[in-house]
Amino acid sequence: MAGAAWQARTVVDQRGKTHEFRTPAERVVTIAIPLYWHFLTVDGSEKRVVGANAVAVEQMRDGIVSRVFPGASAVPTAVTRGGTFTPNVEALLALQPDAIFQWADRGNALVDVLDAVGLRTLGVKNTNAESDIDAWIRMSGAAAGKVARADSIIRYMRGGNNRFDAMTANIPATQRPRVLMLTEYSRQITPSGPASYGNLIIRRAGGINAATADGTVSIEQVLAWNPEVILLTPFESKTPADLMRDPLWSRTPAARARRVYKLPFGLTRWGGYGPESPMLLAWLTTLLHPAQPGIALRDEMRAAYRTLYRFNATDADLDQVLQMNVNRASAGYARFQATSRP
Amino acid sequence: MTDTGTVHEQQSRRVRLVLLALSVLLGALMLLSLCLGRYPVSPLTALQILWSGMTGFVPSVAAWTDTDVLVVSTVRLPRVLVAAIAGGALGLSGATLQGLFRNPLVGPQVVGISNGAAWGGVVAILLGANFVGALAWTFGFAMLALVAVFALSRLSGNTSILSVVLAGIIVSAFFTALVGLAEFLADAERQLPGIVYWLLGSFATVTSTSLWVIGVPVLVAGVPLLFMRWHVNVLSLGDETATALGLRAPQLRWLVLCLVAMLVTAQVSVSGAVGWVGLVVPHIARRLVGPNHQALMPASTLLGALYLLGMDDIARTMAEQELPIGVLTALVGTPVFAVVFWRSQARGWVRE
Repeated sequence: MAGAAWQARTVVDQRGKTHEFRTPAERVVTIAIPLYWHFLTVDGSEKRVVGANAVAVEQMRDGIVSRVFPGASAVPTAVTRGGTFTPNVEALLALQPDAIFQWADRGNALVDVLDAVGLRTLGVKNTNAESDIDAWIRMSGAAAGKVARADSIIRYMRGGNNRFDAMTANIPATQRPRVLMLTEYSRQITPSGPASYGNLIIRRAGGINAATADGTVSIEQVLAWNPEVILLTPFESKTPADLMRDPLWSRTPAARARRVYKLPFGLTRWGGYGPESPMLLAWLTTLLHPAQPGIALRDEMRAAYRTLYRFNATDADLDQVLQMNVNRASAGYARFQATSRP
Repeated sequence: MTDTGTVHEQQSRRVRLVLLALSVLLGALMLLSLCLGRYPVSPLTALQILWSGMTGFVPSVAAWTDTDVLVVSTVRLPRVLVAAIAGGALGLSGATLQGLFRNPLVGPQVVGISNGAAWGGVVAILLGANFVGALAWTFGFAMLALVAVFALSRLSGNTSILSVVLAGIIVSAFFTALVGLAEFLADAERQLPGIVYWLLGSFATVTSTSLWVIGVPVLVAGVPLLFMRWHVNVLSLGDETATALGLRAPQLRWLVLCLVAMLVTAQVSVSGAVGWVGLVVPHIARRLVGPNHQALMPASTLLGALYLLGMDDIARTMAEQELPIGVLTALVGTPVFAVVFWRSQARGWVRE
């Protein structure tokens, strides 16, 4: 990009409003939580972000994200009231931002109040569709003046989808395990049902979603679903070992076969669509179909982190992301160890 | 005298019959509930498992799996018992409060107990307390609410019915505001879903531990309360009558309120806020056995147990998802209450 003349960029946000960036935005505020992380990914730095949602900033404190973006947990958070999405308009005016990312699907008031004072507000939506995340990255690219980079990230994500769709397309239904993905299981049981993004991930990785409902279900319903693999998101504080010890959960085929796994936690929690989702698909496909050739997870992760973030992940970093310690008792997880070569 | 004596006898026979019928119905519904659930266990198998568990008799060829046994004994049995106990506690609380305040519109919410307990439960979630801690916080704040209501109502110089109800409204509003503040400040990802789910009420997380958490306080508070039916009758006639009969009305009223608080907190700490049971059930019970608390309080207890158990059966079996029980009881309870209210207004509360 060096030396290339900056061209004015126009971008249409997810509420249909057109924004023109004659120069890259130098002062960005992200009120919609995931936009913080997506903007950092596209821009490759936290230097332009002058304010962000407190919940998003809190998530930058630990793990490898704190080393990729060391300043990201120190960004001011007084842009909203109480960690919600209600803008603190006076604080925002004082920050003089060039671009604000705000939810456009949680009532018009949240964006209207910013439009009314003339702040450039890019409205974002989340309908669990991959195209939403593409749009976030495209808008981030336009604001940061890194359109080509944004496009290449979108292509990388799509490439992951296509690769695993092709890899698992010919797996017959009888060889697809019934997978139950749970946001939580100990306090309340919240499966990723047909309406969730998890549904798509499970299918892409060659599984069948065991959950036929979203919302909260009973342990009886879980036993009736009879899952062969159980995935716990990082929102759940208990471990696969805890689940496999539980007198009721231990009755599931998944627990009997020790096929219970905690989802990795990279720069973000894995489980949604985003720059880390090709790695998630590689991880899950390997676990669902151990005989499937051609995936070298650790090498792929190292390459992806280098390309996306110019970050050289160590073995210890990858152990942490893959939750090697938490998943050590789970079936087939040893293949992800640094010393093992598939 | 012989005439009234016969009428009285007839009435008490009728009451005994109604109570017996309600008990039999409750037993039957509990058995039926053990046969219902999302995991496929045939009703016959479920009953056989129960029989085998009670008698130790195991047929030579067991027709069930270990998982069937777990589902019936570890999942369904505690939940059925807890739902019935919670319903009974709420029914008894409602009947007692309505007598105590001589007001058919009173429920645990009105005197501040429910909202105090709800706030206590939210504090427990925010602090990540275990079940003992949750019980302590819930009961602590229910009692604090009660003490605050007591102190406020004393400001007017006497503890008249009106001043207690007004103080209850003030204290309830304060705790509702605290709950709202907590929802606003809670970690949107980790704590808020738990708080919201808990405030809607559910028996989905009931285990055999919950049985102790609710069973012991309900026994400790409910049994004495049922023995005080006569006192509640006298209190419902007003302080003058109570004093004339040699009772220390204010002290007695607060003792009864403390017992009610214990019942409500026991329920709240295992299943969250479940409204419209304590308020509605006594009205139906009154239609069956009349306004005498000697009969009304046990009838409300049984009817409350039947009602909440039935509602929870719907909540856990209607859909793959758990329906929030507090929403169900409100959806069913409010129209029932509206009908009862309309018909009673048409005839006048005095005739009840």
